[in-house]
Amino acid sequence: MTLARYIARRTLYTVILLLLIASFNFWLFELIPGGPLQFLSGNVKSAAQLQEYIRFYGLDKPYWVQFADTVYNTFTFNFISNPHFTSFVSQRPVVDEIARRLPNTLALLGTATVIELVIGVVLGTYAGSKRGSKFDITTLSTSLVTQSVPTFWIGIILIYVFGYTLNLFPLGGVADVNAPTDFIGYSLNVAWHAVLPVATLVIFLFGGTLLTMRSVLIDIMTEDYILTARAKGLTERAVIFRHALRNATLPLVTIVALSLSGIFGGAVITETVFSWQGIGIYLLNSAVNADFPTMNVLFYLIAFATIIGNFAADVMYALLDPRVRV
Amino acid sequence: MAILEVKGLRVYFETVRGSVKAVDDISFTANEGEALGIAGESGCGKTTTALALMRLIPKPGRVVSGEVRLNGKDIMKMSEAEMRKVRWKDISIAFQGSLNAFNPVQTIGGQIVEAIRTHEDVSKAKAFDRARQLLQSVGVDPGNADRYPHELSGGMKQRAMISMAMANNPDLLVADEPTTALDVIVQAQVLKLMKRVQSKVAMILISHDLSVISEICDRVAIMYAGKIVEFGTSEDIFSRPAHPYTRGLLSAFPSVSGEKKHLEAIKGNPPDLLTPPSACRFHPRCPYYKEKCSTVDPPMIEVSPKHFALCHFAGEI
Repeated sequence: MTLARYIARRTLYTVILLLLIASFNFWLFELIPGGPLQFLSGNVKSAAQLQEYIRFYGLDKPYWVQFADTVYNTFTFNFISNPHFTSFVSQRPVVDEIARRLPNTLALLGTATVIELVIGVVLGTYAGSKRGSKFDITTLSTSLVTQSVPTFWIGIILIYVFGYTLNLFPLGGVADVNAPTDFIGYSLNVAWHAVLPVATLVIFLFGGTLLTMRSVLIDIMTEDYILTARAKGLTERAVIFRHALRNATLPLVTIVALSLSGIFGGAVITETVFSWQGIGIYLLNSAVNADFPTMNVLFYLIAFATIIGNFAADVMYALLDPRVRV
Repeated sequence: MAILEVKGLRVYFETVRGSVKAVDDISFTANEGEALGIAGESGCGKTTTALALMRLIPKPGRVVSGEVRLNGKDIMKMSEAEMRKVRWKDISIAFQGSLNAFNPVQTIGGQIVEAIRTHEDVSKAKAFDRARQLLQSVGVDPGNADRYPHELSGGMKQRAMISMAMANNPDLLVADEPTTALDVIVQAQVLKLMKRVQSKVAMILISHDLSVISEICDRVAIMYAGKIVEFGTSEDIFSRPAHPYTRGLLSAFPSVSGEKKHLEAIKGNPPDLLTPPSACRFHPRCPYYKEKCSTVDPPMIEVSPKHFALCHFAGEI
């Protein structure tokens, strides 16, 4: 089976890539001037405690053992139980810290990405199939503007208009301090807080999807097989849905796979503007505090999501386009 | 009987620099059981003419004026819905199949089935059977119905394209450059197929290759710069060409059986259709040029019965 072989080959590449990322993450922190010890010692009160820390993080072991340990543990997702992945700052397992923030980020970026994709794909397809029409020109110029303005600016404007002036939505935060504790009540409270940050991200992101989809459609609509389809007497709807969109699925899969894998990384600026306690803010704080174990795990998880997204896209390619399997 | 009558067809492409007159006032007829050849250099308006017959001129082109009567009905006056019923059912077009004319992500059989089922109410299974038969009839193994276009050779794709064009038993088949980009042996096979197809259906064959036209067509129209400059039977055109351009074309073409002689190219380049030469469009390149040619529009002169040439001096030179 060529399909099975194709998938096997892609899996192999994916594994190699993940191993490379895991090793790179080790050397990255080793290469920072001063190394981990310098940053650890800020929390240390006595020489005996420093020795304890060194043993705890395994920094007394030879380099190659540390290297093998780190690569093995990240690659096998062993940081869940491994003490080496304890935050320098909070002295709690990194995984716990991430688990507390990940739902916030997933809720924010997941919602924004899905909405952004739907708007971008639908409007982009329509604009591309009617190139030069009023609709096309309007959406094109709008999306060029919205994707060019920075998110912090969009965020601040939304906060000023809808939060401060109209007082419709909260100015920031994930939920109120006195939010209801039952699941539905709490979710509704979070959703209410999420409206403005989600809107910010949607406004910023949909333009890219729209422009990509539009140019893909424009390219396809000039292909010979579109002329053939029209000559066969198909309606314009059938031409677009059966012939154009079917050929647009490959770029579409890429857009979706990469956007969805991006939702794990958080949105640093939007989360900061709206004080949304998610992965983005956490990553920024970890970098500021030189919290190596946290950064190591976060970098690996973000890379992992992206690589798996790409792998999924590759597999989808093969299923959708007969030419890829060769 | 005339299946297709084209009268005064004009197709212009509107560009920022002005109108490009790709097809400018041409008239011809295609008869039942007959093959009509349209020949000319690249860019003379052959393919534009073919697309105009199906009202598929791409933007920014448009049919400015003219009648295209198919079985007596003017398709230029039809609504879009009526026109869709005419496409492929009454008039179909075999595009250059070796290129991208088949959708790369659908099977060959699936695309033929689509053509059948767009116009006829038959089950998928029945339509697929017919697709296999059609492929067989053009000498392509029916097993290829389940294959994708990239899995077929150029010659196979071209035959499959012809079989798809025949799927709904059209009254008129337009074949656009059916042998271009194929090697000589495959060309010969496709030509043989075209001859066989021609016995069943009225055909318009578009080609820049005069040998292909002479091989198949009963009557020939020679196009130059958006105009038909000569029209007649193959015999007339190839043995007694009346227009200087046709003569130039023929002497630029090698003959395998005839004596060895130097081929003569037509001097100059095809004109810019944005600002075509005044009066006779061929006059800047014409070896028989006289003053009248650049000032007075040439008339269609009937040099012999049913043999016309668009030249002031047709029959005299």
